[in-house]
Amino acid sequence: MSAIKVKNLKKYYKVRRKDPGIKGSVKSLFSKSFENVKAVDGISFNIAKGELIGFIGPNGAGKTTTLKCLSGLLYSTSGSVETLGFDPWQKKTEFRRQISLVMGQKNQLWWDLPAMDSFLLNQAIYDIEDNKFKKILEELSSLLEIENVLTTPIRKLSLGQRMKCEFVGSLLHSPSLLLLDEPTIGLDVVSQKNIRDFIKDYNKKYNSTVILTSHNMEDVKKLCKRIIIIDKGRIVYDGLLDDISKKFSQNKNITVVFSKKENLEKISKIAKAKEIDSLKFVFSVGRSQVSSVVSKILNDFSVADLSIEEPPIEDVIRDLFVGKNYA
Amino acid sequence: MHKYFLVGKINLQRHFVYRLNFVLWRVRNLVLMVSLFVFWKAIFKGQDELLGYREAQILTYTLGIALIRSIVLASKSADLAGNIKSGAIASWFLKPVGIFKLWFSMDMADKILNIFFTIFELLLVVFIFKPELVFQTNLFYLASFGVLLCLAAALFFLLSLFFSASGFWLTDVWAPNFLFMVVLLQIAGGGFFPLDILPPLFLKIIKFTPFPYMLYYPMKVYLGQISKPEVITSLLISCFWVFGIYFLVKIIWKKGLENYDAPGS
Repeated sequence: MSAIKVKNLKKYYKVRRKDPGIKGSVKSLFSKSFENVKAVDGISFNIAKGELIGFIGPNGAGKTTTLKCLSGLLYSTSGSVETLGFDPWQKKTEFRRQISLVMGQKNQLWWDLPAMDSFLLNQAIYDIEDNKFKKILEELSSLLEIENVLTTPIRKLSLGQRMKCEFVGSLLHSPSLLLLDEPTIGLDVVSQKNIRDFIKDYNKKYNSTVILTSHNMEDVKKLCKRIIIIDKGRIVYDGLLDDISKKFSQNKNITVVFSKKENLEKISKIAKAKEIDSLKFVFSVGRSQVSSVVSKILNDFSVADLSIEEPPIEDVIRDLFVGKNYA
Repeated sequence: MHKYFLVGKINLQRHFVYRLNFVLWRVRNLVLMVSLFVFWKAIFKGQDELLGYREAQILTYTLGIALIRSIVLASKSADLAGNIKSGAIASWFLKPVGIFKLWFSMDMADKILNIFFTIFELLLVVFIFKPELVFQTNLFYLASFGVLLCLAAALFFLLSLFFSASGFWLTDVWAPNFLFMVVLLQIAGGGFFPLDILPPLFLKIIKFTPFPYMLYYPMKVYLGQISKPEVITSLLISCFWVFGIYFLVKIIWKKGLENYDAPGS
């Protein structure tokens, strides 16, 4: 059963352009010029109930715009979206009870008051029973270690503490769709791991659907089997995370640890090393040349260890974003 | 309803977080009230009647307007456009709450606080200056005054929503807010002085707009300075504006939401 069905979704904005300086400002008073920005340009995908997917792309790719369309916050220019069986733009109460959008860079709690006041308000807004509320709050606040800041005004908290409180506030009503936009931004490594573990458990325990956007590839690697890569408003990859290297990387990494110090010139004649650390060399070699390079190395040198691996996903995705070679 | 009650309560709490802000808010109200009061006292010195008002009537108007302001106006509504512009309102759109009810409950909290302190400040002014005031005893005028006040509060809230919708389109919402909160409400609404001291043509024109029905007409009815048919007419016109602006608000907010880009994230 699909939790989300998106068909040919487009969201175009009109963005005002202005020349720099006073001259540009005066000119813009009399003649306005606009540019049509295609934030999302005809994307289609389905997400099954209970799936946890990573939605990644460079800055300005259209990730947040898509999440906002799925939640009904933004109206589309064209195309259709069905979220949890609802038309999100009708903003039905029953729909809003089941979703949560966490934006890592946006404050949703009352700035002047302690997080507890916002949590109590959320309890009333979502009609959460007292016992359930207490149980979830205890579970979340102990997991994220925020028990001792619940009564401190939000504005007095650090970015990480604030983010954790945001997270708790967004999950109190146990949403069946969780839209997470950079949820680990600003968190220390321990909290990042806690959040990741929690998202994973939450997804399993409640069979909830989770869409995660993150520039932190650790989040994606640890949580998502399937990823959707978006760039310039278009989907350039939708598939398993494990398959991404095969699809986009022409090379494999050969890691060699030599038994003794070898002649660098001799080594470089076989393949160019991309990393050298004492006796350890990493070569990035075209897939078709792997076997010949490996046999040459084994024949010509004394090797202590050798392994052949797909390049790290971070590297593949970085190269993808830089090279824009999505073919 | 519990959630809206809680929103009101939280908003009340927020007033007490920034104590200096709160004190300055009260000082501003008191200074405005006393300035207008002293101004009219000085104008009336040695004169029984001026511009169609006796001294007791104009002083009652001045102090009465201060109380009506606290009942009809609310500062939370004035923040709405900024909230739309900054995108801060976006998180509320995702929650199962009615945005108008939410803002209304915040406004109510604001009003309760404002009314409480305004009464206290009024008593202080009356105690210090001991002015002669007009106390209306006619039940028709008192009841009409009560109804007009309720309509005026509704009208203010709806007009706030109407002007706030500018946040959906404009990059700077200060100008429409200033136009509404100061020019139209305080000047065209009779907040600073009674509108009938101006040339009659001005009042003839302005009475066809919704603005004098928020402050000026309720006060004139309390003073009993307009005839009963005129009272009925002002009640009917107020009702017309409340319903008319309600429908306009529905339309403009629907359009606005379709155009909204929920910025800042």
